[in-house]
Amino acid sequence: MLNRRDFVTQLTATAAVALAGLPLSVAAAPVLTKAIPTSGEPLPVIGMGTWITFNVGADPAALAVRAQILQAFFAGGGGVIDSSPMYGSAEAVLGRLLPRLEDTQGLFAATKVWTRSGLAGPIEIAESRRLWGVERFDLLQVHNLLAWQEHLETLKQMRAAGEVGHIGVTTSHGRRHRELERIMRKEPLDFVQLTYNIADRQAEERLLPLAEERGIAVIANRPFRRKELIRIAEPHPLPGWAAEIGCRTWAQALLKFVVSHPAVTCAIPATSQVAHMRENMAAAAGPLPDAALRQRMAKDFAAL
Amino acid sequence: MGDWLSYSLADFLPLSRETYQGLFALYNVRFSPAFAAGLMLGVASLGVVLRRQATGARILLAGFGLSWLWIAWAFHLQTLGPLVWAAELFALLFALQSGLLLAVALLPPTAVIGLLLGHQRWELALGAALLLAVNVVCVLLAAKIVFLIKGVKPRGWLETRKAQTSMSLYIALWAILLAVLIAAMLIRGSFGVLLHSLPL
Repeated sequence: MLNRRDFVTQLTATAAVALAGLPLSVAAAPVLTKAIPTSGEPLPVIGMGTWITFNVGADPAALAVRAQILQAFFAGGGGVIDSSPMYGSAEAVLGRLLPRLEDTQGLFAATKVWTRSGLAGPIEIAESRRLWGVERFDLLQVHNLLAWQEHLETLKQMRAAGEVGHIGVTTSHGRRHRELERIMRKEPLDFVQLTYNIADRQAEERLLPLAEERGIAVIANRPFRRKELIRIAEPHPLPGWAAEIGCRTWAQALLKFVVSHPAVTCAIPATSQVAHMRENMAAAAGPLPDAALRQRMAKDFAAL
Repeated sequence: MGDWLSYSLADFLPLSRETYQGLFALYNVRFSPAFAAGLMLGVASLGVVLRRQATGARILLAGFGLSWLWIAWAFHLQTLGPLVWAAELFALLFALQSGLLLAVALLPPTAVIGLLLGHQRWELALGAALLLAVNVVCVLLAAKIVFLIKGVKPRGWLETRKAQTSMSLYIALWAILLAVLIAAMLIRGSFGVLLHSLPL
């Protein structure tokens, strides 16, 4: 049986054969991956989040759509699925749908621990494992730095015992960056998760360079600032540079901007529409903008 | 505090508008008989209002109280709870509101106790206290029975631990009220005998 690393490597190699005629929304080109610095494991640059979009409870119609979204995600070579106990029924929904899919070999299961009590952490993690239906998580993160000292000790012990693949901490909306920086400097993290997109670039100043320096993988959340950035951009025609990086939509351009930062390992856009998932996954292939083009993209977006 | 102020209200909503609307559809399917029963109770309530009787108003308020309690359980805990962690808080607030409505329904005997005590009509005041205690004990018992029949149980280990504490408090409160009730009945009996034996 293939492990995830082999699967991603093979997918990247075999997909090198050009499949002319397929729409861009199907990832025909090699899936772009970046290595996790601490383990060397390649990770597809486009993952998916589950905040709001997968909190649908037991609604059969909504579940059917989420199953299709997951199918499109894996068909496009997706890897990281990020969730949290804070996201209502999202973990349970994933646990219900993942076994129904034919192929989930690329799955990089990432969730969080979110409780004020350090003692409750292991119990919550066990509950998440049960809800997801996985034997162990590839990544466990301390959600929004809540009681991070206690939880990080637990996670370090779990990693040493082989009960979790990687560990990390998260923040969002640009909050608590100073504290995050202190943690990144002194703790042996595999991952940090933070908000980074074409309009929220504070992380470029200190956190992203620090992540590179310390060898910490970065998951970028809110790549579209929910839908806000797409709403701003969509009324305007795509600039000429979009074709240079193989983007047909603003969403793809916005994603490519995020994952082209050298320190960013992957972005985790969330969606409740199958078409949008296909569109997102198409950004996991083709060329990425270089530093000069990134500057131009940011400038053009700011002028919209 | 500054950190909290940087959140917008939308940041606290963990589900989409479509999902929220879908919950009502699921609720109506799951509890469809209750929907019909609620409609009938609403019509009956109109009849009670039109009759303009104090007893009817009390029944109406108690009915509203129980309906609120139902919403706390059936919608907030059972339907919204799996999707929104704060739903337990909403359920608690609805239960408190229910308690308020039931308290208003029970207020008349409480007021009567005060008035009769003011007039030094001890025996009658004890009678009103007895009625109040019967009401409270029965409401608590009814709520507990409903929870048991409907299988309302805590979901996680934390809720289980909280529920154990709540259950201990509940049993203690219920036992005290029952003791007060029994004591009131006994005292009333002996008090009545005592009053009748006095040369007033």
